[in-house]
Amino acid sequence: MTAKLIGAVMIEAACAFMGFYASDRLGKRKKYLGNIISAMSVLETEISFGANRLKKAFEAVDSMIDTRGLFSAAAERLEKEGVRRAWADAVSEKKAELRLNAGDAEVLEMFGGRLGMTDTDEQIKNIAHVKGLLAEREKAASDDCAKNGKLYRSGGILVGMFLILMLL
Amino acid sequence: MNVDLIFQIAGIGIIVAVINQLLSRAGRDEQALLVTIAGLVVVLFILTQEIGDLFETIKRIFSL
Repeated sequence: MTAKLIGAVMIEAACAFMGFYASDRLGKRKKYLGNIISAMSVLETEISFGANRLKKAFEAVDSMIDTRGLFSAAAERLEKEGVRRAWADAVSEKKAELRLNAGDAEVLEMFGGRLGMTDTDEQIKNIAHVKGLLAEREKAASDDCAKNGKLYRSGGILVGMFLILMLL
Repeated sequence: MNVDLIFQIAGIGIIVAVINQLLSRAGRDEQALLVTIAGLVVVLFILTQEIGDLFETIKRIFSL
């Protein structure tokens, strides 16, 4: 009887954890997309008013906003690999940590493709364009979080109960 | 006849109903239907033994 009880508690805990984890993932995606948008604004300021080199601008952005080291990862690679490769590699390295999906990563990679190739005005236009795209994605992530976050949480607990009843 | 079996099946019924409501509220009607069917199949699985016993008893009573 005790063994059954312990097993039941473990199954319930595991299922509830999975539900909460999935829900948390949605919340984090929303949060990090918001942070990346703010980081883009800071980068815009750095480029237009600071007239800093890209590496310095990236490092400055990273010290101000939590993007899980996305910008500093790109800054480290910048001199070795060139802007485009450095940015793409940084995105693919950090996308799991930032909980981004394939579409989000694609938008960010597109940003890197046009970065550092043109003059300041064009770069600022590029940043504004990417910011617009990311804002749309953040809104979608926010809707997704509101709609599915609760579902995953209660779903996890209920599926755990279902399994326990089945195995009883 | 084990009374626990009845409670077990009732419990599965309640939980499947709640999951069904939850999914259909979230606009996932297809998955809600899938969960209902899965619940039905699970309950039938649990009941197969009992149904077999019922048939055996009927056969024995009427000496078929």
